Amino acid sequence: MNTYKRLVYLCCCFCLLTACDKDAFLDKKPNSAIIIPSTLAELRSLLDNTQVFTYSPGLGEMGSDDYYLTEANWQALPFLERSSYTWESDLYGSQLNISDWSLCYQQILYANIVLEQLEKNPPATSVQAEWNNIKGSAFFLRGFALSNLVQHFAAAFDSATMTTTPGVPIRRNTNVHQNVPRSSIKDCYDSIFTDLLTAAALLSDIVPPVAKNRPSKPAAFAQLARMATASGQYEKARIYADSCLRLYNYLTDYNTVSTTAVSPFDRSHAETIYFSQAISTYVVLFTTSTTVFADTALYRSYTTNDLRRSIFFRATGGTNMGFKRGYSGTILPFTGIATDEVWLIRAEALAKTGQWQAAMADLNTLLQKRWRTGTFVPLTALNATDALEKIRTERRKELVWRGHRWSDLKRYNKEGANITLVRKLGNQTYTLLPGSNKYVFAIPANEISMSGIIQNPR
Amino acid sequence: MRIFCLLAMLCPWLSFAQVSPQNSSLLKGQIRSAGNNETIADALVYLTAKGSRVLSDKEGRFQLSILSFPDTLVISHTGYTTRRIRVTNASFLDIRLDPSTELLTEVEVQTGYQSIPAERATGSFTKINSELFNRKVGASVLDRLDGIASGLIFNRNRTPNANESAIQIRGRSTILANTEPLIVVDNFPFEGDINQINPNDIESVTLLKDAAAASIWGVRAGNGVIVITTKKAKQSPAPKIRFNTNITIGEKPDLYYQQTADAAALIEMESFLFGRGFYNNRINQRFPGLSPAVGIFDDRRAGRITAADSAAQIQQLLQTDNRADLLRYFYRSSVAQQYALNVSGGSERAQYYFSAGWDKQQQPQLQSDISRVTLRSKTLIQLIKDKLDFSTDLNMAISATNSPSSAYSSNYSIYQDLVDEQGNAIPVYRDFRKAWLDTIGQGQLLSWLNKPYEESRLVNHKTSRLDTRILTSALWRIRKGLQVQMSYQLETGTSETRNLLSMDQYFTRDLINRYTLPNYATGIPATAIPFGDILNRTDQRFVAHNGRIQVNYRNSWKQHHTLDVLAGMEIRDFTTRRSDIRRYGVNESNGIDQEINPISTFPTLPNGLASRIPTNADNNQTTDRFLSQFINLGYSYKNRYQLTVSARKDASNLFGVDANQKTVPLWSVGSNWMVHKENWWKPGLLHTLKFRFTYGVSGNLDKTATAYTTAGSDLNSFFSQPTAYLVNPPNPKLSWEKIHVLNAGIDFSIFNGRIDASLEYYEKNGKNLLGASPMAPQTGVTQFRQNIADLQTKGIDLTLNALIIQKPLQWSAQLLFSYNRDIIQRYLVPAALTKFYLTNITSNPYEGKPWSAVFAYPMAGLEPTTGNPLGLLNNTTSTNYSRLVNPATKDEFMYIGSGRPTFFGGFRNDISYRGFLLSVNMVYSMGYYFRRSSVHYASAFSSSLSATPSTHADYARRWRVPGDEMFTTIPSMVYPAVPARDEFYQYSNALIEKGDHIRLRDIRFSWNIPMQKRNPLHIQSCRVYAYANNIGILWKSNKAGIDPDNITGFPSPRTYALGLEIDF
Repeated sequence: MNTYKRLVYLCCCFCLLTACDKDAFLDKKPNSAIIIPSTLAELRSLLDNTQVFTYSPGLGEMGSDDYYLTEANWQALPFLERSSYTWESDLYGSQLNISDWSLCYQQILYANIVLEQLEKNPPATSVQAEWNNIKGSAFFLRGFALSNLVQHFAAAFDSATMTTTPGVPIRRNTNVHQNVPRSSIKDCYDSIFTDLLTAAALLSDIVPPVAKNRPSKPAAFAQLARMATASGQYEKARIYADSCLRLYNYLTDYNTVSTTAVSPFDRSHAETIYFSQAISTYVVLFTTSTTVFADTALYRSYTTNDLRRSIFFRATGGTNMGFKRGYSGTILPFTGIATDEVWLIRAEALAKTGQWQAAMADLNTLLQKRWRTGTFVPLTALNATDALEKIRTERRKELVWRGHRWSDLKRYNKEGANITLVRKLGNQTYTLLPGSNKYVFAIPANEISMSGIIQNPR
Repeated sequence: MRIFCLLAMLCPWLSFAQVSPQNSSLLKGQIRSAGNNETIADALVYLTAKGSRVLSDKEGRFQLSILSFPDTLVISHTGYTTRRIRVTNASFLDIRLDPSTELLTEVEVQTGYQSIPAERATGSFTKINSELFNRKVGASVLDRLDGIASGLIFNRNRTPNANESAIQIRGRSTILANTEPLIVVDNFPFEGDINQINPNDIESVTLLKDAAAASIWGVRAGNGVIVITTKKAKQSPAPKIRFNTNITIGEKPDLYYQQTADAAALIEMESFLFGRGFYNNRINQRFPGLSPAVGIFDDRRAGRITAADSAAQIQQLLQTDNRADLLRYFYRSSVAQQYALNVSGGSERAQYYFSAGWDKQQQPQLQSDISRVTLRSKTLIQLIKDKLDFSTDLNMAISATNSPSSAYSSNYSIYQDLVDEQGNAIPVYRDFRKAWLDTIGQGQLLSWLNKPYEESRLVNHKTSRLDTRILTSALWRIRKGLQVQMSYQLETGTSETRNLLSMDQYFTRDLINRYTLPNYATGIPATAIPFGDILNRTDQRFVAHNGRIQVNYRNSWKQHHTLDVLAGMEIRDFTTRRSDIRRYGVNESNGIDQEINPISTFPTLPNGLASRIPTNADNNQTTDRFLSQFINLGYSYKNRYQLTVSARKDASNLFGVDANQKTVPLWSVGSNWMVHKENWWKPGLLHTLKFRFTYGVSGNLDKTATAYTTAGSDLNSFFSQPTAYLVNPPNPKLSWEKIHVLNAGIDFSIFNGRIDASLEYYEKNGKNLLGASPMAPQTGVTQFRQNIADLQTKGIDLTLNALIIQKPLQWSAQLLFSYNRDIIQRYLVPAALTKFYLTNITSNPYEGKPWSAVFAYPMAGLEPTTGNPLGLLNNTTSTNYSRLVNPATKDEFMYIGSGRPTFFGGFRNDISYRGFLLSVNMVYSMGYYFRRSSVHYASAFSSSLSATPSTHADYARRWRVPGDEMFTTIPSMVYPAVPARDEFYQYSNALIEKGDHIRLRDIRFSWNIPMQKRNPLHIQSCRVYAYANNIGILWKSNKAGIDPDNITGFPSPRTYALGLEIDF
């Protein structure tokens, strides 16, 4: 009998043990470094990840005519950089993952995750402003990434064919199990404008003085202006650029910038509205290179009193000039948004919409800050066409090595500029004809094989 | 399948045969062991003429009816020599059985929860006793299992970054989840460093290999369990003392093993590349280092040296091969010493075991050694006689490790001289060019020279570790057959690693210099990093609490029925903490360090780039929690039919899954049938026979996969903000991996037990395994873990023990043979690109092939005019490499075979004669392939660009002129390098080799020195032994001179040991 009593006690012990809070015991987080991002601080820290954000594709700049190579130096380069220079049909060779594509989509996934989590956690009134700001940032970053994709992996904007020409896949949720086909160019631009306008409504008016990776309302307007220009909608471009400049229009007087420093600007340069740089995959784009030379004609177009001649370029031995570090302050080309670009966009848009005198005034405002004090004579134009030409020449000179030349070439040729690019290596000549399929980069092989979307012909 | 299981379990029950006693005279007797006089239960007793067959009872007694005299009585028992006695009358028989041989002694299987006689076990296990375990010499525990445990293999050639354990029991059962076998020490899973256990404290090691193991040990046991049982306190009036010491000397590593291109080949390549302008960008940058040859070419081109100087300098380089100097100045013989002492004894009510061990190992690298002290105290007290036992087990291990200098892991070209003829260190200008170093700073910088030979001796990198394990256990015998056992174990480990990088070391000088900006006007440089040593410190700590309450119930009734029940629950909490910090400006003598500014950026040399000072700070904490319930039933009928059933439920703190997914139920059933205990059994040629069968479900888990979106915190951003990165996009469909395991075995012995064998067949069916499915880049992730795979592993384990010659010269042999083959039965998502099956098979399993499958591009030799490797596309040769290395379908490449051994095992021979014992062990691995390396031009060129030229020796044997294609398959050199062409050759069938080989693992020789019964030192026995390990390959299939166990790196050096073991 005694034994059975003991057994009963034992059972009680067991029950007691089982009864202790099992769920609390098993709810302990297995790793302190892992979180389910939900608080505003956590969501902000996802958007502040500068290994994911603040990068733009580099393929366009590699295909542009901002630089040239000698044959020996060309041969010493990695495969993809060699084939980019000669605009090969088979651009990627055995390389599978092209970060120009995948990193942009990673940025879009991060933005979508933040947007989804924000919707799940409505804000308290005390943090409404921060909640809005994060939401606006996510919209901006999604729009910015899609802009970069469209400019590299889709044909130039053409209102006649925009509903039939394939753009890129538009992703608006976090469902990684669903692959989406390529949307039309029109849908892509619509998506970009919607995202950026939503961002502009939510973001703060202030451009951060240091943390230039955080978007602001001027950044959203500037990116809208940039994409309106890329799609030839100059009236819109003028309005957006104007909206930006009303909030932030600071220009640095280059007379205060060192002409001898290796890094004339730092990453928080005052003209910068939003920071981004080219991906670090391509050595051709490194401003430390001693074998990548600035296009000779382009370099010669800067006169001696133009301070940009010594602030943008450096000697690489001999007569060849290389590029200096720009607004990024790093060895990678700056691809973000700065006020100088916005001034140029407004000038170009004004010239395109018949206000060419106002356009020249904007251009001179900018150039005055670029010339040696007391040497600058304001430029004048004879008519709208002359003004546009002068503005585009100065755009090329101001925005050199900043990743704009490629999309500008696509746009100019669409408008009929008929620019043919020519490269010489030894006895071999390579040409890139206007409107060539090679202006649109191939979609990476792993994307095609996994999602089966349509490849770009090259 | 299920029906088969059921039938197999039932079949012993269908053969019940009752033999009723007949009226006749009774023959009675008692059986004892001739060795220790202990009675022998369950011995089989029968009369040859006619009559019943019985088993002896617990006191060794038996009685059986006899019809007529004379007759011959046969008494047999596993582990004893069978005796035949002629009986002429019914008088009481006192029978002594001689223990047969050591390999047949009754074996107990330790599951960690209970100890059961081997013959009653239904599952699959391998037991390694103390003697076999101690055959090998050394401080490591796990190494000793090589070649002596059936079904266990050491994976010596693991694919880098692949999810593969170093030790594998019965092949794979998962793709991405845990692959490590569970290590159990005494009663609980062991969390510490296995190298902190003194092998001299180990009594036995048991491998549990089937579902029975998993249903006992839960989800962590899906890959098998290694149960380590330590020595117990033994009752003995006088203390028993054992002392063991040995010394092991190892050869220097064979630096000449890897086939690397010599100076002549490398300089030829660099001369060619220099001519083509390959180095221009680097040369023009003025500061980055150049390889010695490129430096000379550049000096010559710039006119800094004459043609004659240049020729002389190149001539000198051509004669350089630094491996001789490395062997002479950088390496030494390894020396390991071991001392171990243990004392045990005690009365019936209190017993003790104490041990102490000291190990010291001098590594082949200078300044590098490991020392370890282990202490152990184990006591067992009967608090209430026959009612309540209490035991404690205290273990402590302290170790100190001096790690070798980072100079040993740095790359230098083979023709880079490191030590001059006088034995002085020579600087290496790998990072920075001499001309630049000579001008930069003008005295404002610290010396920026890197002298590897000096560095090799400057190291001060220590790790000290303290591990403790405290086990307390109480056993309460409530009444006969009913026990309650409560155990608690606390295991802790702390380790501190201090790498003090002094100002003398290149690393420190280099970092300080990089953050210094010389000011040539004032002469006062701006420094961002304070002068002084740099200290990298890592602190790690773990605490594991384990608690268990368990009820054991055993009952026998009506003579033939025995029931064993074991049920209980378990709780586990395992936390680890790790923190890394770096201190600058450290002065070790007064312990003071200086703060740096970790936020701001500083201009750095040589580029002027703005950078933050690296802080190397990291903190991490992990928690592993388990809550489990288990029950284990064993039913035995007439001691010849056993049925076992076990079940377990594990719940764990999986992150981000629903509560019901945190729990997994596991179970197994098994049965065995000891045919030789049947009454009708007559031992003939077949002496004993037993069938075993188990089937069950075990599980596995991957704690990194979660159902919700998770993120990890990362380093600060470019703009000094806290950042986070995405770990896992949401996966609401996540579930546990399940592994269905079947094991069927047959154990038998023949020739009166002279040969005994165990043959087992097993099948492991992993269902719903996690796989990394590649994702389209548009999703924003490239890989995603989800339950998409099935993996089947089948195999055979055979153990054969033979006593070939008996006394006075005894020769016994053991043959282990394992066959193992795994097949990916289902993998829902194809690889992102077809080529990944060749380049990265371990992350891209191929349906219908093994996990480790080796594929290759078919190569049709070299093109006669160019030396280009020829691929095959639609049955015609092709040199379109971009296309060739991106195959459109799986038919464009060929399946070669498994990448891991499919047949393996060991063959051991023990020969003893009058106290002398010679034991030789051979191991073999067969039926697999590997890919060897050859010249890869793109990487050869880039190695030279980074000032450390190196490539494979095949470079010199490459195609050069038309006609060479007749006797070489090594492609010509092309410039610029075409990576796709290199890749095609690298993954072509020209570089596939067969891995099959037989290795003479080790030889041991020992001598039991004969002792006088009463010697003044009270020595009971004394043994000296010699041991040689890693002796060499006896036979290998490949002709390329490659040891298949060491495709990269160096083979383990041969070691020689001498030791002494004394029992008092």
